[in-house]
Amino acid sequence: MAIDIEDAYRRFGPMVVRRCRALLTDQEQAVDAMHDVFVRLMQSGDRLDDRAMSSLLYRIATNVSLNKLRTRRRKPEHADDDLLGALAHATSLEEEAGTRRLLGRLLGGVTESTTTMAVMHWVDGMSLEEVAAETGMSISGVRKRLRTLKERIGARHTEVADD
Amino acid sequence: MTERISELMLERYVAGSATADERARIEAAPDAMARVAELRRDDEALLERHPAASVAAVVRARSAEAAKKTAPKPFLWLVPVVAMAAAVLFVAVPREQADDEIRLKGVQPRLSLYRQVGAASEKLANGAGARAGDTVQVAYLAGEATYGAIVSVDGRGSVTVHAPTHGDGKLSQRNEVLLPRAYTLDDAPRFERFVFVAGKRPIDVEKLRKLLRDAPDIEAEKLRQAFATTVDVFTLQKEP
Repeated sequence: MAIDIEDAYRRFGPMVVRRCRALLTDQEQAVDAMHDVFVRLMQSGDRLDDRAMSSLLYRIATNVSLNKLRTRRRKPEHADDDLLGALAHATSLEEEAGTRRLLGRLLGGVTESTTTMAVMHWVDGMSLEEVAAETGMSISGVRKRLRTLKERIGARHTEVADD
Repeated sequence: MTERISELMLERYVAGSATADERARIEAAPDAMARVAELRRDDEALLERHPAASVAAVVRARSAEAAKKTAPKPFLWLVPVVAMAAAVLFVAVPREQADDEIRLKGVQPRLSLYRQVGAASEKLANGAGARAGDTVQVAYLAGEATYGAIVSVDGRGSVTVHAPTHGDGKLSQRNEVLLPRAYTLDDAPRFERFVFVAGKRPIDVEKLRKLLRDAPDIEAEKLRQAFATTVDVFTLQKEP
């Protein structure tokens, strides 16, 4: 049985809109992104309990927003925007590398899930423990991924906090 | 020292999916409870500005579009169809699969209907009772047939073509295929009849539509004779 989108939206839709709005800083784009988030949820086809669904939607909302950030030209309005732009671009690099899989491997991949972790930790201020709990990874695994990503996005984003 | 509470934890609290420990931590923090109140006000405003039904409609449309783009061999029926009632509440979009062209020999084409019950569904028996407002999902099994048409008629004589909406009505050979949309029954009296005519050659949909419009309670046997092929009729008895 498919996910009841209306029910899921009533319960978690506002959360998704706020998540997208926080990252995109634009209400109209956030609502557009929210629709995409529920499309992805629908395509996942998984029946989830409330907690798992809220986690999944939060992660999808982050990913979708980063994708939209990547495809729009915008001037950084504050430090987080600048960092978000860098994180979105990091994922973009990975996608480009994905077409050259071997090179991607050699470079060490920056996956969508890694940028999601980075946003949770560096932008949202969630602890490594919280990020690990949300993503189902170990704390050391999260730390390692973020360290690698930090090296990739480079020294020009020195505001990225140390782990 | 003030405990830091993440926005996600607050969101979970508002959505009712926080753990007991998280609830206790939030309720012990006045700042957090003030933020909770803000989120609840924002919830109300967002749900009023973007109602669930309209959001779901956009999601369905985008999902169907995405499915068409990613399907290796799109099933031509899987396009939006005209709702037979005022509102379409939910859609079950089957994951697209390649049509393997394998016929289910010895299996007769047949219809199935499901009714939405909360987030779940129940399979309906032919002749089951149904009420205005019930949301039903139509599915078919092609069996030995290659082509088919599914048309419904209600107690007012209103006819709806569910499939095909274009093309020649070639059937998918998967075990059971859900039509791309579910329907909310309106207040037409007496019955809703769903007719599935299936055979080796494309079905004359206009002929079927006319037969049902002229005689909504036409016997299945007369339809079989008219098309010289297999006909399955599924009837819901309308209850007040």
